[in-house]
Amino acid sequence: MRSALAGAALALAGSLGSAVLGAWWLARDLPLTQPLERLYAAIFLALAGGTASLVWSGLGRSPASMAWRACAWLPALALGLWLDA
Amino acid sequence: MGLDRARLGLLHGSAGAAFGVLLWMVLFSGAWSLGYASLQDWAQPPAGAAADLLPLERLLARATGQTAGLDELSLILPSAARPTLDICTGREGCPWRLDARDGRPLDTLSALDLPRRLHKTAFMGFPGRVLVSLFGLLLLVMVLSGLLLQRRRLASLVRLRGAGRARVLHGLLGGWSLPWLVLFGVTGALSGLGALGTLLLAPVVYPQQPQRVFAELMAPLPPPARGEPAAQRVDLDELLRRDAARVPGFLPREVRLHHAGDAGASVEIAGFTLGVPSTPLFERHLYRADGTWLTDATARSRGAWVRAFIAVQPLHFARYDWLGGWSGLLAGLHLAMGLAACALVASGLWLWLQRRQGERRARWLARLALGLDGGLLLATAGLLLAVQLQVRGWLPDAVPGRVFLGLWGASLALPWCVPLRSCCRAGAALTALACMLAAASHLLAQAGQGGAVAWPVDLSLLLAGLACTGLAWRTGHSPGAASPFSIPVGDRHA
Repeated sequence: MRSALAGAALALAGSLGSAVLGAWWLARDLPLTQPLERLYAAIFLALAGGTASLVWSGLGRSPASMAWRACAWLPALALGLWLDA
Repeated sequence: MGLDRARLGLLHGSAGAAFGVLLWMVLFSGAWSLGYASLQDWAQPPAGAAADLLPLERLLARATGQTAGLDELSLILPSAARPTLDICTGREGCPWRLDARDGRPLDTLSALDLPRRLHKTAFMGFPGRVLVSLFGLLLLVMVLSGLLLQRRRLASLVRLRGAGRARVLHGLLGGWSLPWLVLFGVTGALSGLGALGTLLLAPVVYPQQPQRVFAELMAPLPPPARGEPAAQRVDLDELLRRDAARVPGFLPREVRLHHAGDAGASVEIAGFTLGVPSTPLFERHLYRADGTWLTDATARSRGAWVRAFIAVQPLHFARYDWLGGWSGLLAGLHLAMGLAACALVASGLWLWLQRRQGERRARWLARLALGLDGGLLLATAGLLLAVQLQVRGWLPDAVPGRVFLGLWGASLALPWCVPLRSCCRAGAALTALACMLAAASHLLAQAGQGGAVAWPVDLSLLLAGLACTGLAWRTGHSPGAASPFSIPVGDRHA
């Protein structure tokens, strides 16, 4: 029970964290000239990505799998942001 | 790749059990917000003989005592359907309301705002707004998992075979209200998370001046004050007539006065542009105080993503004025689907509890559901009854708000002290009584006036009263095993 709760919490935190990092990356690098357009495109796309990530991680076969599915994006996005900085 | 039905069911059920009680509160308070204007009209004491609306300047003159010295004012214009003028200030909300037919001051009935504040901020300001928005995300997850779970059965939206009544109701409601559930989820999530994203991402898109994001979003801003006294202000009724002639197809809803009394003063006429999903915040015609036209702002001139963001609020709060003649029908459908979403979540919780009768976690969840959700229902019914008594002068102004909070607080505690079945029965009976008394009180007051103001609210209250009476009767008479609230363990010691 506790490991399931921990898995769910990690899935939630990982998905939200991935959505925030994804939004940050999109707002900076989307090929749109208007800054406001870039900002709101990033918000919409991050919400869609975050929801998909939440559902996908929620379907993991074990708590570890749930956490892995949600959090695997985090280092990739963080690395991409760092390399692109 | 095939989807594992067991995993989908587990995700749908677990998410519903963990957050369904709170999600119901968000949905119910959202439905209240949709009907808020109608509830305010319903709660006002009956007007005298019907008359035409008074000119705006005459109404404003009646409120001079209150508005003198205020340099920023927003006037929410009356209409034939809603003959009240709301006078709002930036800081205090809308503290004054006048009957636009005779200019008499009306009670603002601030207690009715409590469930709306619960939906908008959960009484916690901006953090609460973000928190409530997360339930939009949760709703999307539930809808998506439910859709994947039932995708084969959705081919038949008429009958789900081989299931109990609660399951059939859950499936049918989910299938029929699916487009609105997605709409509620997306627009609800973006209402708070969009604002948070705007704050967080402003330094990314405007690295030098993050605050520019709001100036760009709200552009064009009214001219600044000059610090010199103003000449005469234009007659607002005349300005509204000229604006209607200049921009046909614009529906004015608000007049905003900026820097009143200053030489840099300006007047904004805000409203809806037909065919543009937007709000009076973004559809504005700006004039100098002497009536000279300055500029127009409309979402039509924005890019696709900004327009999509602007469309979130009118779609979430059913402000369909921009659709012209269809707006009333669509707003009614939107409210009906909001209530259907409440029934969907309630039936889902019921199913989960029924499957786990006797389990400790089911007892906890049943108590929480009764206390928070059933309590909110009872508290809002009590609030409506108290407001009816307040406008007749039988109760002091502060009482309706206390009735709401008191009933809800008591309902939270009761399921932990009283057997659940008795608690459910008493709560349903009290809710039914409050609903019916509130409707009867309003109908009696209206009977002498020969009109039927806000009758859909009375009808809804009577139907809710009948439904709660049925629930109270069933809880008292049905066999114990049929109800998740018929817990065999002694409740006080569980």
